[in-house]
Amino acid sequence: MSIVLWAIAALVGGGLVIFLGTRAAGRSSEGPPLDEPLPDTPLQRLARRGLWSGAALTAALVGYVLYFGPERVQDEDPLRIGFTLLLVVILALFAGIAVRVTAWTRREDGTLDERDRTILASSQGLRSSAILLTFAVWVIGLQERYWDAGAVPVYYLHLVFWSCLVVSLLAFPVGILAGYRRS
Amino acid sequence: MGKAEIRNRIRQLRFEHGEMTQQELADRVGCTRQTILLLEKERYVPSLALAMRIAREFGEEVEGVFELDEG
Repeated sequence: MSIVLWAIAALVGGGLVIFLGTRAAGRSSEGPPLDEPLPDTPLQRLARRGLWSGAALTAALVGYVLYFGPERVQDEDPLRIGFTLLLVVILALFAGIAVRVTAWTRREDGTLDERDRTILASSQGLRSSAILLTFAVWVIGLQERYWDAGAVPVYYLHLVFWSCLVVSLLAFPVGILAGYRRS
Repeated sequence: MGKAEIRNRIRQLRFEHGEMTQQELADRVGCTRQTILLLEKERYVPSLALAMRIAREFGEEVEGVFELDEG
């Protein structure tokens, strides 16, 4: 299997953990369905926007690397700058979300109430599992591909790091949304 | 001992207090409308602090708003 497919498998693996975690959270809800729709909380709206924007940007990033190939993205300056810019946008998006959530947690105006704070605190659970699986798929893939060579091209270290980071960032809003489904 | 449930009269008290909306109550006690809705549906048990703020908003004791139903 080519290394590109392993890279996709790594991201899909991380995404799968997040998806299954969300499904499991949905199943644990108790009681009959509510007879009226629940109004979204500010935290829920922010997490949903963050998830969709983050997923779209991640898809763009993966498409970019697949289209040009990891070697060209690493070796050619204009392509590397494009890759870096996409990463910066993703990081800025999640930094913005984190700053906003931190500001809300410091306010006592009801934007985040006790239930939101509990959900926020328990939203980290999926993160470590998603990162571990992403990393594990990368290790298996790189080992399969480069076992005979005995060395892995250095640009894969960057891709491993960035893919784990992106999965970790996406797991944050998913953990929050899963928390609302669970509670 | 069976599973205890917390019943409440929040919906009734809202209507007795000038048909206060869920959002108005949420703003007054410092929580989200979603939490008020879940409280009214008895799908969420509030902290003691939130229960006391809700009771105070209606001019009631906590026991006048919330009731322990031990089945």
